[in-house]
Amino acid sequence: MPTNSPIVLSGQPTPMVRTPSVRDPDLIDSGETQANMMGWSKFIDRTLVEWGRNPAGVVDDDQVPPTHEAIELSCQIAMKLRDAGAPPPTRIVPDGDGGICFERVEGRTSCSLRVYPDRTAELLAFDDCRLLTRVPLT
Amino acid sequence: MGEGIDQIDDDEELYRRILDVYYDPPEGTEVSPEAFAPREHDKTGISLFRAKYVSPQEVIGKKPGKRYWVAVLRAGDLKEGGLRILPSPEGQPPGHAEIPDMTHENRHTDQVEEAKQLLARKLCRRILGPYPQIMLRQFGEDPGSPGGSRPGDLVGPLL
Repeated sequence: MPTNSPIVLSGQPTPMVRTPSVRDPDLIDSGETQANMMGWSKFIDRTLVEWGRNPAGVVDDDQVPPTHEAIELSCQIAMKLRDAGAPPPTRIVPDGDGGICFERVEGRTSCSLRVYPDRTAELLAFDDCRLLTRVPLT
Repeated sequence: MGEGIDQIDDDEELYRRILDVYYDPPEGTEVSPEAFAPREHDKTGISLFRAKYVSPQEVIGKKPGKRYWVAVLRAGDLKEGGLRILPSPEGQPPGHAEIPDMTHENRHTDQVEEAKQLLARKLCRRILGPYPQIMLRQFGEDPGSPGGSRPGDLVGPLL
C-alpha cells in the first residue's frame, strides 16, 4: 500500500472524545469489573432497598434498626463504589446502633466500612484481627 | 441470682446468640464481627451463656419471625485471646456470663473492634442451628439437652 494513500493512518493522533454516557469502568474490558459491579448492585437492590422498606426486620429486639439517614448514605456510597468498579463487600450488616457496616474479608485481612446514623463514616482495616488503620471518610 | 455463679473453667463451652443477618451460609462462611458488638443494654459486658447450664434452644428463646444461629466458643480460648469472661447469673435463661471488657460505652474503641474480629474470625469453634430448627432429627434425642452439637443439628460452615 502506498504510504501516501488517504486511508493510511498518519498525522497527529487526535484525543478520544469523552462523553458523559461512557464511564471509565465501561472502557475496561474486564469480567472482574463487571462481576464487581453486579456484586454491588445485588447488595443495593436486595439488601439496602429492602432494609429501607422494613428496617426493624433486620435487627434483634434489643438493637436499633438502621436509620433512613444511614440507609440513604449507604446507598450513595455503594453506588459510587460500584460505578468505580471497586470490589464488592462480602456482606452488609446492621451495626445494631442505627448504622450500617460493609464488610469485606480476604484471607486474614478484612475491612469494615461503617456508616453511622449521624451521616458520618469511617473505614477500618484489620490484619489477622489486629487493627491496621482507622480513618474517617468525608 | 440464678444458676451459674461458679467460676468458669477453661474447657467450658459458651454460647452466643447470632441473628441470621450476621451469619448467612454459604455466602458468608464466617460470623460477622458485628454479631459481637455490645448493645445498648450491655452496660457491664456482652452476653454469653454457659453450655453446662443451658441449651442452644433456651438461649434463643421464643422470638416469632426471627431466625438465629448459636456460636460456640471455649472459655480458655477467650482467656488466651486476652478476653476476661465472668459469670453473671441473671435468672432466665440460666448460665449467663459476660465479657466485661466489651460494653456499650466503650464499643467504638480500637480494643473492642479488635475483640469483635477475634471472636468472630478466630474463636468461634462451630455454629449450631438454624433455630427454629428446620431439619428432622434422626435419633429422637431431647433437643433441649445442654451441650454441644447433637444429631440433627445443622453445623456450620458445612452448610
